[in-house]
Amino acid sequence: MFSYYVALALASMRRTPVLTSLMVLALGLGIGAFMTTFTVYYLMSGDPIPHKSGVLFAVQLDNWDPNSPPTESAEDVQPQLTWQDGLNLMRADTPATRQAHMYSTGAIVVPEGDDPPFDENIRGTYQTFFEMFDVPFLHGGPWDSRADEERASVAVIGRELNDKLFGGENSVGRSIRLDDNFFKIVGVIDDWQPTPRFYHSDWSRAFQDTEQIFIPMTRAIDEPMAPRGNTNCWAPLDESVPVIEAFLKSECVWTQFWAELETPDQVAAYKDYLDNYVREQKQAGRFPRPLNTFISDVNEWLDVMGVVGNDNRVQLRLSFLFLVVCVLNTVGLLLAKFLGKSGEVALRRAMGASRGAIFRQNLVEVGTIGALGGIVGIGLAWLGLRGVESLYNGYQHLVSLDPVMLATAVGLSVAAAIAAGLYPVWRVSRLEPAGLLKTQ
Amino acid sequence: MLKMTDVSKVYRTELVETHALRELTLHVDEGEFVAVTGPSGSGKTTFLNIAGLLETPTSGTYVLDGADVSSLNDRQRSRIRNEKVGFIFQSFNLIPDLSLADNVDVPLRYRGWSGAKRRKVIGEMLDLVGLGSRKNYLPSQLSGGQQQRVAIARALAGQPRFLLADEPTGNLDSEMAEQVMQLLEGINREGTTIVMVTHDPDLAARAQRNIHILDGRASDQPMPAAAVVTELEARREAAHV
Amino acid sequence: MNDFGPIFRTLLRNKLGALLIALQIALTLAVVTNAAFIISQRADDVARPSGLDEPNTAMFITTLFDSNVDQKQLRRDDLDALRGLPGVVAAVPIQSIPISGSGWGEDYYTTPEMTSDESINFGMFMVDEHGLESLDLELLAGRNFRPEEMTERSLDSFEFPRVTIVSEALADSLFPDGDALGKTIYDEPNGEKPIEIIGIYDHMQNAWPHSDNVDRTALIPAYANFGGQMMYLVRTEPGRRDAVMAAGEEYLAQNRSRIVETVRSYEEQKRRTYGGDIAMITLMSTVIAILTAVTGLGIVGLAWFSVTQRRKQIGTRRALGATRFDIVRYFMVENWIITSIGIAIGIAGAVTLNWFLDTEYNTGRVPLWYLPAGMIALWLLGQLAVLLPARRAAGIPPALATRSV
Repeated sequence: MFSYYVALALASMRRTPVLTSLMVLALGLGIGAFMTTFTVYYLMSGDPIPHKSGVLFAVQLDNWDPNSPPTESAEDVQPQLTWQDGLNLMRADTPATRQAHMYSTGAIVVPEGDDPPFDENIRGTYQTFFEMFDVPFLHGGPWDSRADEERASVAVIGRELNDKLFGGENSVGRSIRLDDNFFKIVGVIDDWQPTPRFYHSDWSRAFQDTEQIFIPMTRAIDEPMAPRGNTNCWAPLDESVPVIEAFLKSECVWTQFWAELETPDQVAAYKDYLDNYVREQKQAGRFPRPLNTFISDVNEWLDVMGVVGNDNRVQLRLSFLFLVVCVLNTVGLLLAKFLGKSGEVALRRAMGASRGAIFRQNLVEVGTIGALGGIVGIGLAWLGLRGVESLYNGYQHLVSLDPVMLATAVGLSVAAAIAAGLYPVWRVSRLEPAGLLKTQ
Repeated sequence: MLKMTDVSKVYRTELVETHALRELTLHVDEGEFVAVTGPSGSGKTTFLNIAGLLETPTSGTYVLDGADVSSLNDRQRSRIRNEKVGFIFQSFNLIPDLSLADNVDVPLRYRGWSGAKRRKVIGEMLDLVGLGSRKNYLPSQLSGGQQQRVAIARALAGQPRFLLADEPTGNLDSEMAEQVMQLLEGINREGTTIVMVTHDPDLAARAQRNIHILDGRASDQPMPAAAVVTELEARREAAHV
Repeated sequence: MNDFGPIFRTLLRNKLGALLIALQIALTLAVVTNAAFIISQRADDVARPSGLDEPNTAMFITTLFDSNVDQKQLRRDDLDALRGLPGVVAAVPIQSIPISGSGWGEDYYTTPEMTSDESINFGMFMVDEHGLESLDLELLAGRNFRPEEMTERSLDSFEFPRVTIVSEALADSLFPDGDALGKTIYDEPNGEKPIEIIGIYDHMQNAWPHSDNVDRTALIPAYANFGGQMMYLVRTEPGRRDAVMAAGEEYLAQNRSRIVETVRSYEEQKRRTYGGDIAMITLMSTVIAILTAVTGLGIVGLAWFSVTQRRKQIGTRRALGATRFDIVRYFMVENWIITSIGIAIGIAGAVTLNWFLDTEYNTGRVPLWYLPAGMIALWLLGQLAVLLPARRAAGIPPALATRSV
């Protein structure tokens, strides 16, 4: 019966091509507009690392200015740590399974041969980073912990850079020149683009491409390689020592810190550990503000950092209202269509179709229109996303329609069509055949 | 009062030329109750349209109330329809979403009368047809006969020069039909000219005069011979009694 | 000839079609009002002057990677070369560009007792004595830097300037009672790092367009030597900017121990920094355009259908004496009533939506005059949209009334 109804639906739609096209277009427009903003929103706010987002935690310590207003929640506390605090935590024996201290820097890559040098972002971190964040390797692997201790000149590079410099070969063992120094490549990672890059504390860069170079943080600091991203200070530097040393031991925050905590007990234990650490530091004269440590898992961290901007939310809401207008439009068109079919309905009823049968038949027709509208909507959403991509610098990872989005588009369209069509279809199924059979 | 002279109406399509009326000549005097009869396809409807200024003749002259209305523009014809013609349609043609009062009101709105005057006339007309107490009913709540009576009220409201009725009882049962005919006859006795188009000879017999249209032409006849005989016989019978 | 009453009563009996249109109009009014407001706000933001001579300014960013090169000498050579290019009015080394998204924030204290939460935050720019002219800043009071006042900021030293030139907005924030000129302020609490205000310029924005203190900026006489980056800002004669950009790039690229990362006009940089706002303007404009079109077409469609449904009625009215114009008028009035109902709902909707957006996302309160403007626009839209079906209705022949079909 269902396929019979679908066949009837298609035939009926062919008979009123203008009306049907208008309906499909109206729905398609609404779905297209909504899916454009929704896709961006979905990718922006999606879990960037679903299989581990519950065990990776960002650490915040409130080492800030005692004169600043009181803080209530993680949003008010600096998202980064001082170099000192990160180093102390890395060296200590904490309840965490693993920890990773890191910061964002960069250098000029000078290729072998005549190709011109170019700038690249670099993440200075520890070897624990790769296992914690489940980074996939093509060749080789992370450096070992000895390299962190010895500040070895080693590097892990990304596939894109590997293709560019070494033609895609297994470059493990070869060297890469960064500014004035040579680093030995120990691993090449595959394409890895968590969306957003939740470990980067500079949210204007959260959707940009992942770094192509990772080196030990200890080695980077040794150079020193200056931080890129945000650096915030509240207290003057100690001028009795050289600038670099003063900066490193200052209360300036410019590093990020993540811990892997696998059980709730571990989470509680780690939080206690951090609190005790801060208390200790207070005794040494640091941390003048009240005790205020925070650990947030990946999804909590996304909220704290406010990944999804207000603009995105406004766009989402307005595009939803646009969809509602399109659905209202469709209701009118469906009314027109079905009331115009009253003769046929009367005929079918006279030949024995029950009210329910008429209702079902027409509902299938409405659903078919919805499905077509969904397909048109997908096409329009694709166009819309191309537009969004060209408007926003750096949205290249936020504008693709994955299978979930495609299914959502069609499902939403069918649902919208049925919502729009419920009343017209019900109205038509109640028509009494008697009055409609004779020509008037 | 109404005079058509050599009125012809030709409908032309790409393929076919239809001569609906061929040099039709007839007249209706003030106060008459005239029935226009003829088989289907004879041109009755075309005559009706032209008489009611719904269409213009292709050739010929139509003089209504002393004025030549044969080739007026749409705006002028609308005006005259509104002021001089009272239509009564076979399928009543009441507007389903309007109350009875609002229905009777329709032609009055195009007159520019004040609200008070309109309301007064509407009340009088509905009372006249016996539906004054149901001013706010919807047409769907009335029987066919009642609907036609409202239509008659509407037709009379604007004090037209003549009523133009198109099969006024065509959609009614015999009892309601009788009521409507009696209403029409009463209105005519009060002095209103009535032109009634019908194919029903019994109805036609109740009019004072019949005009028979066949193949687009009129025979402006006095009562049919058979009917005269019946009438004479009836009078003789009455004289004897 | 006012049909208002019967038309209204008819609508009451046929609520669905009217309601559909009214709701669409309501939503359109709500959305368009808010979208238009957002557009105007963003457009205002983007239009704010940065203080620079925008059409004639360009920036060069280079990164040195060979640590054997004498960076200071290289900078002197670069500046000589850039200043010597034909068409150049002035060039200055600088470490941050207004409205570029990337910059340096600092705090000034007006008294040694002031605490850090009371200090005045501003955007700081390190320039030499060519700064004022390169940035096209007008000195309202005081004087420019002297070459001997220049300091070197680097990872090697704590050298600190003793003088500063501030924007008028910053001067007013520091000393609301006026005469900031000549006063001493401090870069650190407890009276550390005193600096004298030697000049006040008219206006320059800092690097972050949406910050509260966007107009509070100051210049200090310092060369920035951090991590090999060397940034120059160049002002040219009108029409010479692109040529200077090309020539400057050619010169800078000759040196193989550095890369020329960016050569960009200031206008282009501003466009990039305001990218999000410009995108929002574009998106909101698209929403307004498409939404209006959809609603308009919806009205056309529903009205057309309604005309078709009422053919017999229309014919009857014509038979009873309505002119073509009367029929058109009927539909225009009917549409006006529906639109008005939609507008009434829409006003409430627009205000509610605005309240919601403002509370949740800080978009700001829409000024009241937007509403009458929107109302008029929608009345016009409705009337225009119904015109076509209305004229079609007027074309229905009065003879239709006598047809028995």
